Amino acid sequence: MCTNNDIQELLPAYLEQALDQNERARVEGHLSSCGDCRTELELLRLLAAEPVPDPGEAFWAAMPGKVFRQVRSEEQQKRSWWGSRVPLILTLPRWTWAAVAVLIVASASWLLVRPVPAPIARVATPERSAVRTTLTPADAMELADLSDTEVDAVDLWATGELALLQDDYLDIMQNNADLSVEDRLTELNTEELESLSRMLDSQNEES
Amino acid sequence: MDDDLELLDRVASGDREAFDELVRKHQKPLFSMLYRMVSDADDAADLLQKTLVKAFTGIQAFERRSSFRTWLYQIAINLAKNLYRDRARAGRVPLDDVIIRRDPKTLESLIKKEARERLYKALTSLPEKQRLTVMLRVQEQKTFNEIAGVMKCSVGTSKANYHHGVQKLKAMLSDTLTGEIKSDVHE
Repeated sequence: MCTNNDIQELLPAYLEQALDQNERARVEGHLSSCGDCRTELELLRLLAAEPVPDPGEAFWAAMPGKVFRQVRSEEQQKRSWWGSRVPLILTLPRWTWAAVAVLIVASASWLLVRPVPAPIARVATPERSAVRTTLTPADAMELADLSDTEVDAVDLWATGELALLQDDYLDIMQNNADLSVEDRLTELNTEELESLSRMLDSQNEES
Repeated sequence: MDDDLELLDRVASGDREAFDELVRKHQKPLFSMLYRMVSDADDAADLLQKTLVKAFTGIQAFERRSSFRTWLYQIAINLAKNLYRDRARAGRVPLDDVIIRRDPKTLESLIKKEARERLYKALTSLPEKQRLTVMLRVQEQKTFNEIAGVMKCSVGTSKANYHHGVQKLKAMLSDTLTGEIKSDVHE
């Protein structure tokens, strides 16, 4: 068996008449003395001689159109497959998506920074038609004339006012540690003195 | 730029004429190779259309590292392999006898037909890679570099497949081959 791979690789090109003069001479020189390569060349000739039928000009002319239509059909099928499974909203143009995104961001921002309304105190329906919310000296009334709700409101107000006075008193006491009690008392006005007096009375009664 | 790549760019922009030109350019060589693989004209025609459709519908997968023709051949070979394997398993010899029909009764025609059947059986008995390499080199006149690109192997491997395939064919057809060559091959 011939082991000259170089020549054997050139045999197909020799058959195709694709070798230059030097290579052709080299191959023919080898063939004259190598039966194995001659057999191989005959085999290659048989293989190359196998005819390929021609389907005809009509077949060749129609092929581009057939391929184009099938490509189009498959692409449309792919699109309709996705379209039936993806909500229509996802096929909207980009500007729509941008507008939606802006809306979402704006809504989220408003929810984060909006002013939180102060809790509104529930007030029971008064038994009387009107409830006084403020009291002035000119409007002094008999407690017995007030409804339970109005009495509660007065009590709530008074407690708040007294708490403020107490805070102020404590501040004064802390800030004026050097002052004597008498000095501190002289700094109070009449109203404050009366409130203080009432407070002391109530504490004495409790004790 | 490669002509095929230029045509592909035009196809991508919707140029129908470029599309038709690409198909016309490659359809005959593809059909020839497919026919040699499956030995049936109808099957080869069907595979040709499938190859071209698959190439254009999956054009995004073409990375342009090889030529467009090489890529087409790869698709065609893959599509033909399954059909060829089915045929080989069935032992079918679907030789196209168009040429024999011209004069079916002469002895020469019958001898030719018998020789072709033996050649076909010998070819189908080769391992797939060797058969493909021999077919591409001898019948499709592809270079070893082109074969390596189509079959995704090295040039050395394509040469080795070729040598082994030819040696096996010679052994199987030794009683048919006479070893005689004409003094002038270039007729």
